[in-house]
This record gives sequence, C-alpha cells and structure tokens, in this order.
Amino acid sequence: MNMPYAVKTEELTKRYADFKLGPITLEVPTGTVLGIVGANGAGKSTLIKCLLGLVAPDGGSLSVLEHEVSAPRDMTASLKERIGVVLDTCAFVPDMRVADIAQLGRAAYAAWDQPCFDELVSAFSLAEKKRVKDLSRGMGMKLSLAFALAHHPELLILDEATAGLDPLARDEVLDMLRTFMDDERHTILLASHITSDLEKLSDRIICLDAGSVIFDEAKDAITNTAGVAQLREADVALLAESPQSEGVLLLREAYHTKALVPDRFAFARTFPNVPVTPASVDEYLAFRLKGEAL
Amino acid sequence: MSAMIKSDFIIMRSGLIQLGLLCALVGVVMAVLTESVMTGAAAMAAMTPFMCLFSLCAYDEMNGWERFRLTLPISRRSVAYGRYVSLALITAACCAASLVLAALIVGVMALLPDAMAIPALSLAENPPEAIVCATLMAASLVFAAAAVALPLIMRLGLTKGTRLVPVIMVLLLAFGIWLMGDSGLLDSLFPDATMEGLLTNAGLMFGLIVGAVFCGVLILYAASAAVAARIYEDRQF
Repeated sequence: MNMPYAVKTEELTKRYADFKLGPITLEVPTGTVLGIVGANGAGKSTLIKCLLGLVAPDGGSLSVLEHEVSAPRDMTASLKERIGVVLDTCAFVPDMRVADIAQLGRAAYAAWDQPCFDELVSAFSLAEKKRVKDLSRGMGMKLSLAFALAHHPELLILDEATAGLDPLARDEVLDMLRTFMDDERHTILLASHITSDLEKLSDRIICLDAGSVIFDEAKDAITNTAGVAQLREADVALLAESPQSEGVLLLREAYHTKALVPDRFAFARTFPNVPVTPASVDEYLAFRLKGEAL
Repeated sequence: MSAMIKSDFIIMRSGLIQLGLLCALVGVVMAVLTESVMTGAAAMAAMTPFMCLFSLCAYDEMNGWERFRLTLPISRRSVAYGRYVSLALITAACCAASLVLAALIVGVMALLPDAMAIPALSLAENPPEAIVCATLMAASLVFAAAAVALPLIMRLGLTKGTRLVPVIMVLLLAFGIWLMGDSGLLDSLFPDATMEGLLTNAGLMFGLIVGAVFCGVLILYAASAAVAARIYEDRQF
C-alpha cells in the first residue's frame, strides 16, 4: 500500500521580483511532524502560502491531503475544512470578542466542536468577553491555536505559532500538539525560529535559506546521530586524512575549531580522545549555513 | 457563501448598530436643516451602507484577517459574492430603517403644536411616494458606487484601492449631475417633474425612471460581483 502524504511537492517554485522559492521537493507522510526552519526571508512563509493556496505556484506540482493544488481556486472549501492554520499573528479582527470567534467557527466549519473550543479557551484562561485587541501576543496565539484545533483538522499548519509565548505556555502548546499527534491520521507542519520547539516535536526538519532547501533530515539523524567535535589544529589534520572526514563541516573559532560529524559514534570510535557531543538543531543549522567542508 | 455573510455580520454587529444610530441622527439633522424629509431619509439610506462597506474592507486589512479568512472553508468566489450580498442586505435594512425614520419625523411633526412644527416636514410636503423614490435613488447610488469600488478593493485591497475609488466616484458624481441635476438630461426630458408632483403624469414617469435606474444599477451591481469574484480568485496574498 502506498504511504499517504499529507503534503507532497515536486520541483515547486514561486517567483517574486526579488526572490525565488524553490525548486522544492518535499514529502510529508501522514502522521508525522515536519519542522521548517530558516532565517527571516528564507522562504518559509512563501512555502506555507503556496500550501494554503494563498499564492499560486509558478512551477512544479503540489498536493495537499492528496488533492492537487495548482492554483488558489483548487483549494476548495471541503479541502480547507480538513486543515487548521495558525499564522504568525492572531489574525482575527481586533474588535472581535472570544465569543464572536466561536460564532465564526460555527459559521465556517461543518465539524466545529464548540465543547472542544470552550475547553481549550478555558485551559488557556481566555475570557469569552475579551476582545482580540486586548489580548497579549501570547494569548492571541493561544486563541488562534484553539480555533485551529476546534474543528478537528487532519493537517495543522503553524507559522511561528509559538513565537511570543513564555516558556511555560510554549510547553503547554507543545503538549497540546503532541496530544493532537496521538491520532496517526494527523500531520503537523511547523515553521519556527525556535529550534528547541522543532527539536521537541518534529520527526523531520527542513532548512530553507534564500528560497532553497539547505537540508532535509530526520530529526534523529541531527540530534541523536550527528555530533559536534571540539578539534585542535592537529586533530583537524588527522581528521582530514581519515575516512571519517566525509560530510564533516568545520566552523573555525578564535582558539579552536568545531566540526559537525554526521555519525558521532563512529567518530568517537576513531578519535576516542576528541570530545564530541550530540548536535542540537541550532548547531546543525549553523554548520549547514556557515560551515566549510573539510 | 452564508459563512462569509455571517462572518461580515459577526464582525460588524456592534459597529452596525453604532453606525445606524449615528446615521439616523445625521438624517434627522439633515431633514431639519434642509426642511426635507426625503433628504434625511436618503442621507441615512446612503450613508450607513457606505460606512459599513468601508469599515468591513478596513477590517479585512487588520491583523491579516483577509488572508486568514482564505484559510477558512470559504471559497474565494464565496468571499467575493458574500461581500456583495452582505452590502445588499445592509442597504436593504438601511432603506427600511430610513423609511421608518421618515415616518417618525412626519409623525412627530403631526403631533407637535403648530408653533413648534416645521411645515416643510409635514406629510403634505413629503408624500410617501417621493420618500420611497428618494430612498431608492440613495440605494442606487450605494450600489453604483460599490459596483465600481468593490472590484478595485478586491483586486488591490482597501489601502491601494481607495486611491482610485475617489477618482471614479468624482466621475460618477459628474455623470449623476449630468443625468439628474438642474438642466440635466432628466430635467430637459421632464421639465415639469418634481418629487412633489409624482402623482402627475410627468411625475409618474419620473418615478418609473427612478425605478428603471434602480433596476439598471442592480444589474450593474450583479455584473460587478461576477467581475470581482473572477478577480479575487486570482489575487495573490
């Protein structure tokens, strides 16, 4: 049986006057969490806009929940019914109250679950009479998340959804997303600058830079298998001559050199005296963006 | 489409009542100052929908609401058509409210002692047919202006669209004056027709023309909705 993909793109491109996204080939199997990371202007939001049918791709193909989307009009109401979205700001009209947003959800979604929304709103301590303009950024994002979850989407697309949340609230949100993923039919696409959130939640991480995919790796390959070694100049020379040098990236600092090694266990066996620690997504990102090949 | 219409009304609910009351006040003031119930009724029937339309379009641009709304299960065509239907419903409600306002003004004048009443605001000076005609003309103005403005706003957004809308409005106003002003086309065709003379043959013909203009504007409004829906389907956000 073919594995169903929540999102699949092939050679997807989108051009603006001063920016080009892609070509991007991406496969997000149903039941997984894809983290998208990249600097401001890297193309994360453009990719999400393509996925949501907010802009028309210029080339390649795109399917969302197994529906081909080649133009915004292909994003039908029935397809959007199955997608929950949290954009980088609380996108509701400032004068709306929390209760109005529930009414909006009832009007828009056939599968709107009012008790679920009420429960989430209560868990987030959002008062029904509170207006959107009176909510802090964090509270606004919680409201957006409650709205996105209350119609039981299959695919959740989050663009900087945890930005502006305090650490406790962020953990609360991440727990909620983990609970969402308990259902194997669910999928999350999470674009974020906060790599620790991606580390906690993602199964796979892609990094965009200047519109191109810099890496597309399973999270475990980054945080469990890859490692960062602290090298002296002599170690650098030894490493360069060893079979372990393949795929190694270096970042030279004032007094020492750091190396990203693809398999820290194999590296540790070859260089038992060189300290090597598991790589974080942040470090991996820095090496892939700024590192030099050995 | 019903989701889009409901969304517009949920957003405008509190604002609509405020705008309605404000415009009713303006209508009364205009009726008293111009000594014409028709002017007051027409002002209310035209002002409130205009203000609602621009408020709705302004809300669209706040917090990225318009972009987010496209992620809700509402097709782009439904967004465009829904906005036209929302405005039509608001205009119809405002026309009804302006007729009620006119009846109230006339009723209050009838109850006031002669010394306090303004004779020009009496029923005799403001026949119901004339008030209905004035309200219909106000609604025609709303629909004509929206038919021009909405496709631009749907394509460019309110901020950019409003740079072009006034230019087109001025041209429409000039056309309106050419059609209906003193020495305008209608005046030269029916020199004896006045609002008060609606029950005369020439006046009846004037009333028919008002009705025909209203129907023509409705057709224009529907055509504009089709154009706006087509434009909106291809807009990039």
